[in-house]
Amino acid sequence: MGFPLESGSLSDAELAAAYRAGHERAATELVTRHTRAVVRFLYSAGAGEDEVDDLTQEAFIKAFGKLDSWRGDAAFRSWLLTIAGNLLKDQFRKRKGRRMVALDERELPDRADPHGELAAGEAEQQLREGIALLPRLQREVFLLRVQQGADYAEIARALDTTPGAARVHYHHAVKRLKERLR
Amino acid sequence: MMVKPCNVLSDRMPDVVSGGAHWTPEEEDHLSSCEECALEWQLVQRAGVLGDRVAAAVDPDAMAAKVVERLRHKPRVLPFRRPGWWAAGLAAAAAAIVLLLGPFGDRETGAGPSAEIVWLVPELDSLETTELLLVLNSFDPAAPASVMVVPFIDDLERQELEQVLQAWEG
Repeated sequence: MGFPLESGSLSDAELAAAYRAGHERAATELVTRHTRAVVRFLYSAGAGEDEVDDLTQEAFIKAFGKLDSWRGDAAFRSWLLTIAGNLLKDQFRKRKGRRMVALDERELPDRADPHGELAAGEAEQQLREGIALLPRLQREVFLLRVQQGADYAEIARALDTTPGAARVHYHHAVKRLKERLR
Repeated sequence: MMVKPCNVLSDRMPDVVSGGAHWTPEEEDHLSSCEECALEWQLVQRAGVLGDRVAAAVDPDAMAAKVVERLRHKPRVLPFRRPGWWAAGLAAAAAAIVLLLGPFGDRETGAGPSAEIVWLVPELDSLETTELLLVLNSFDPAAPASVMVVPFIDDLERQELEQVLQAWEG
């Protein structure tokens, strides 16, 4: 099978099939397409900035290693993010239960605008802490819904649950996060 | 049953924040007057852009290069499949042939395998590793009665993994 030069026009499923058939460029396209979503997901869920790169790489390596288990009923990105979520869970375990790393100086915004950006940085950190402390399903449902715009049916397929249960997890997550914002 | 406007708005917030939907004038009125909905809308908006700064700093092409380089050096793991009834049947048939005709070749005389055995060999090429192990085990009189083929932990489905973890944790 030839591999088209315009691989950007191929669906994720077509790229996955092309990779299975031995086309390395299909892997390149899939990684390029989904890298930023994985990074956002991991960082939002509590990964430190210095951990995000390695965890993202690892998520892709794992995904390609078990591509045969991607049934194709869930979107590739949602499936990939659940793999990233698994890795982050292991990372939390390695940190001996600490779900958030201390805010690194590098992660703080420029102090030239102490009232604006610093406050925004603290608010961001507070939200990340809140998300990291959620139970895993609540955390993943919330991020898939809010950041990826996935509907409950799609989330249910990715997380192997029901749309009704996904909806309940979402609303529990929102309730807990609102409590932290008050 | 009348659905509360707060519930309707709550369900629509992720779609609006992703740009897939827009508030109606009535919904905007509600958002400006309902403290709970305003707080939730603030939360969803902030979560919607969370991580954008970090994601923008990552170069997807560089990430792709690193991943592909690692994939090149990673041995491809064959998916673990439980041998079906036919594999057990094949193993039993192979064992029966060996018992009737003796093992491949005659160890004392050094003679090669008999013609009756040779016809089986091309079919072995089509077997998965686990199935091949079962068949080979049946040829080896020194091997234990059964071989336990252990899959890599990464190959397990989520439910299988949970069963293993439950067994470990009691």
